[in-house]
Amino acid sequence: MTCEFCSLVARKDLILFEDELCAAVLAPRPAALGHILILPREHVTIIEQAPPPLVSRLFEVASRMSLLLFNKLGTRGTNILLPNGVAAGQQVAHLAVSVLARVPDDGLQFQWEAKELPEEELAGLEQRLSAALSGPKDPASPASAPKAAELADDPENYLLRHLHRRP
Amino acid sequence: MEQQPCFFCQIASGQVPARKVYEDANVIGILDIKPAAPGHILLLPKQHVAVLPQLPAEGIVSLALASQKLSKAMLQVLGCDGTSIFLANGAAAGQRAPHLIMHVIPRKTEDGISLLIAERDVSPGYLAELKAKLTETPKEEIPEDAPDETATEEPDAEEPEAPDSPDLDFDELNRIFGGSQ
Repeated sequence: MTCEFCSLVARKDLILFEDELCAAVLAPRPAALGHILILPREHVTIIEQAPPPLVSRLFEVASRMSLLLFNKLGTRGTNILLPNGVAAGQQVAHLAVSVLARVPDDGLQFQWEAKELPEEELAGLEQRLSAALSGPKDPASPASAPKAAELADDPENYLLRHLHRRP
Repeated sequence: MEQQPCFFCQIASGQVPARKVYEDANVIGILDIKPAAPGHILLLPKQHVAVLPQLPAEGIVSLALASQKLSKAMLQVLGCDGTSIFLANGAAAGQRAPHLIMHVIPRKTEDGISLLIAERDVSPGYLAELKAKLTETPKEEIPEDAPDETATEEPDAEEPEAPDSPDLDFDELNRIFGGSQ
């Protein structure tokens, strides 16, 4: 099995920083003037599968790499992006945080159209997300727990189904 | 605290009401009332900073863990197909608020949200040059036309200690974005 990002970590020549959990690597096909990928050493696909210390480390390194781009390239802006799942634009089935150095007119368009939602829909969303985040404290509502476990353990879950290496 | 109260600081401190779904010691998560998609969450550090590198480590850890929990919750209860975790550091990156915001956005296929990383081909020389620029030890002006002879094959001598490198310069960052409070 050859994963494009596992290979990048093993290849060494584009690595800017590495520790026991992750590596910061120059993107071989950069989307911006400076594009750094923060890659877990362990092959995980989506953030739900990553142990919390790894998730913390990925963003700590992303912050440092962002500062590095500010300092060394003189960029005035960076974006940090983690696409989670094919629907979010994830292209390689290996979790990655991208840090992108921005310059004027670089052709990158990170944007969306702001939607207007009725108050009752916002209230419903608030209630559902709050309930899901408060955890399975209530034994009477175990509905979400098995679903989370399934997502973490099943490599063939629907999120990953269409993920494949780029040609 | 500040002479000019920041709107997002007022939300984070509860002075301005918001639809809060998450909170820990360092961050608060609220529903974006004009979302990219229903369920779009804004994670705001309680400490006023403009950009991520100004935030102390514990704040970054809180943001990271909150984004993971929110992503998981969205997949469980919103029926989305994926999530995007996104932030902009600086107006040049599209940042409009004076306060750091991490976005966690529920995604569906073909949802019209433009957060795609479009890869481009570059010469191997470009990458070698870029690596040299980013790992040079003395902090100097970046040469306009760096020589293209940088070999990529040299045995990895010392990995640059980027995350604790003493030459990372916060002063310039604070000058551009204002100091963290």
